[in-house]
Amino acid sequence: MNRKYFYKFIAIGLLFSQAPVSANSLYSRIGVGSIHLRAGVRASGMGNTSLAMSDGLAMDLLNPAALASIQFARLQTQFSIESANVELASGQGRFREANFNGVSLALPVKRGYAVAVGFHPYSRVDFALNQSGSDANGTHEEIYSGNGGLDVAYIAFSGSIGSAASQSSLRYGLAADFYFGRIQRTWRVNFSNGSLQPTEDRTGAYFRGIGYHAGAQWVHPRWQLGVAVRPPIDLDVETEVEYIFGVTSETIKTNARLPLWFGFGAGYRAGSKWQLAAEYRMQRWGSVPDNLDLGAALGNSRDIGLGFEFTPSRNLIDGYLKRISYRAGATFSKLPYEDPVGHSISEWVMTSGFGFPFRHGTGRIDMAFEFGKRGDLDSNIAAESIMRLSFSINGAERWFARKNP
Amino acid sequence: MKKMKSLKPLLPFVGLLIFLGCTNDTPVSSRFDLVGNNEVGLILQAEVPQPQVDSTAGKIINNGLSPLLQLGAFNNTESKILIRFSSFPPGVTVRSASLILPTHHFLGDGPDFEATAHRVTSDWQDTTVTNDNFNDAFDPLSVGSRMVAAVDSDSVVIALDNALISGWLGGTISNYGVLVQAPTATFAKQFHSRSSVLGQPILRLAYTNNNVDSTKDVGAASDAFIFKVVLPPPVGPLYVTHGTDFNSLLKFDLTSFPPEATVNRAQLILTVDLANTYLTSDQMVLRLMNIGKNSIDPLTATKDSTFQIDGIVVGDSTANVVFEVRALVQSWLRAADDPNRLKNFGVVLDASSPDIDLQQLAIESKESNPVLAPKLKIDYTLPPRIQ
Repeated sequence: MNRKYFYKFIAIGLLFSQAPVSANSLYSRIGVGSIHLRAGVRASGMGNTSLAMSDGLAMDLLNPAALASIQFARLQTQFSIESANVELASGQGRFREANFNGVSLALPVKRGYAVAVGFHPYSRVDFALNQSGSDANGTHEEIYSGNGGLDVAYIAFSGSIGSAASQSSLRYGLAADFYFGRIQRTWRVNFSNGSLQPTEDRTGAYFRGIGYHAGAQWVHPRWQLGVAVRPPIDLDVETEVEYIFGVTSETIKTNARLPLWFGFGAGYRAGSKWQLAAEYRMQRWGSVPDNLDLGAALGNSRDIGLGFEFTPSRNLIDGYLKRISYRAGATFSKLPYEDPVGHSISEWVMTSGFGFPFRHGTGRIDMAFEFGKRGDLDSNIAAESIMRLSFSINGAERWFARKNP
Repeated sequence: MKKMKSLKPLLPFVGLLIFLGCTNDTPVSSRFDLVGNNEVGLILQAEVPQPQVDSTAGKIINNGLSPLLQLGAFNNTESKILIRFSSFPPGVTVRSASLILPTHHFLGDGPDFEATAHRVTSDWQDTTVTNDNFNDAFDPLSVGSRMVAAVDSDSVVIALDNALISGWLGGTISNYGVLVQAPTATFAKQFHSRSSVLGQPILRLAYTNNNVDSTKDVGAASDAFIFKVVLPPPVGPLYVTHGTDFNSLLKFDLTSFPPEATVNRAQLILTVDLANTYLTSDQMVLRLMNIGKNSIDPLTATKDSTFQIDGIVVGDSTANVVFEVRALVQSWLRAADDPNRLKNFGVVLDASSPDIDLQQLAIESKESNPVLAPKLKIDYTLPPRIQ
């Protein structure tokens, strides 16, 4: 197989890596932004369930143990289009952005063992708020906006104990993570009175830190169980503050903490066509000390996901439509942040998705469509209607294999 | 191209991503409902109602390069004119000589006064002469006189004594020029000097040379007006003057402003003390300069040319003078370790061209009127608090 096939993936990934990545949420302005510890697109279509799931194709790196199911060298790139319509009691707004959501390369070392490298978003900041006011000098407009986020570059190793002959196996995985990123927030004030110079105060925070995460999967012909954990990570934060029209700047060094994250899930195969999954995840944002929370009011976040996948046939000689996978699910989350009046924010999302196989089933284009709601005007001061369209391209080829003479 | 075919199914997604990636967000309004207290900054206004230091001082300066010659009484000053001619035709017999002074304006009002011309008895330089160093070096005996009216559309012509001019020509009298004075004047009259482009003083000579009668206008070789202050300006206001070159120093205490503030506008607001202000239709051009070293004396303060505002014109109906000093105040507020910081030693107010005439601008001070004293009005913002 031609390696230019991989290069095309990389080219597409680079094309979209130039596009701004967005969390598309008003709440992304808090702390390190809205958390994007998301599994792959296949999992997104199944209610974001991935910890226990592995199918040998998708690289769902929340649980590095799943890599052990990889049998070919694989490259996966992910993209998403997000839209959030924000409703307030007094107004509305809209965020929409196209995103590049990471790239992963996995190489099987031998059967049941694999290494992977790549990067993916950890959090995203993208918001813009404005407000008009007036005083003795006339009117002014304040614009408060932010963008950026944290990314994670990782190298992961996965192995397995047991074999197909024993009907069940235990997979394990460990990933070293390098967290990096920049979050910029800008507060600008424009005055209608031309004799007043504008204000533009930019705060660019550079994050750096090293951590790891680990996971395990127990795989049985019908049942799969999975668990993953990310211990707390302390990040170095170098904040450069620029007062653009004050023509001065300063640099402040602080720290931030990403708290313990863990999750567990279960999957069930009902025959060769159906696959069911459930999952629970938690991140202990409430344990972050005040001096490490970047000024955010934080509480523990929780995610519960349920989903299924239906594949009419996995037989290559069947028609293409029969080999498409159909997925659906739902996720309910409690976000880590509180709104300004101290109320917690919940999110529910309904998901659906498709898996389009290609190259005789060694590659797949996964699509997921999610819609839901974040916050509620009855209990929060803002509600966001969310729509997210994601897709990933996952291709494989056999590397390091000796060609027959 | 053949290999690109495998990417064709992706093209709709690529197009969709590019399209949506290019669309703009609609910012959410009503941010105050949404953000915490420290997430955005503050828009503030402050007024520093009085200067920490205000002082004023002046000194009489030379007016030799002024385009004007001033004669008579104005704003408690008495002015005299010094003028000298040198380019005389040689070997001629003078029949008459008239000093012609083209009028610019008159200042004040009153009855006609007599202007008398006198022979100057010692040398003087128009670029250095003042009333003090001139020492009344003139012959009290008049060599010509003329009544001067409070009109500004004439030229004053003073017929000079032939003997004086003949003496200059013959070398029997040292030619130090003539002084014109008007001790009984109750107003002042301004004439164009040799530096003016609108008119020139001349000496019109009628003479005979080789039995031929001729006339020649001789331009002034040097001229100046000198003046004495009859009554100094009252103590209290701050002054910026021409002639006596009063400067004023102002310093405001800005220590309560944090260095991270962005100054959107800063205005130094001065209230004119009209009762003690004497401005003419020629107006006064004010200048403001930063001070580079600590000082309370505006005359000896080190004027720092890195920041100056020039060209603020004040006339006789000006009630308030406003200097836009945003950049200067922003520089003052910078952190102590900022290399671009200017230390706040205050500013000096002076006149751009103090040697033109004898105008006087009086500004209310904290001594003359604490309510109307110079004030610094600052519109500024404080940045969001860093977490």
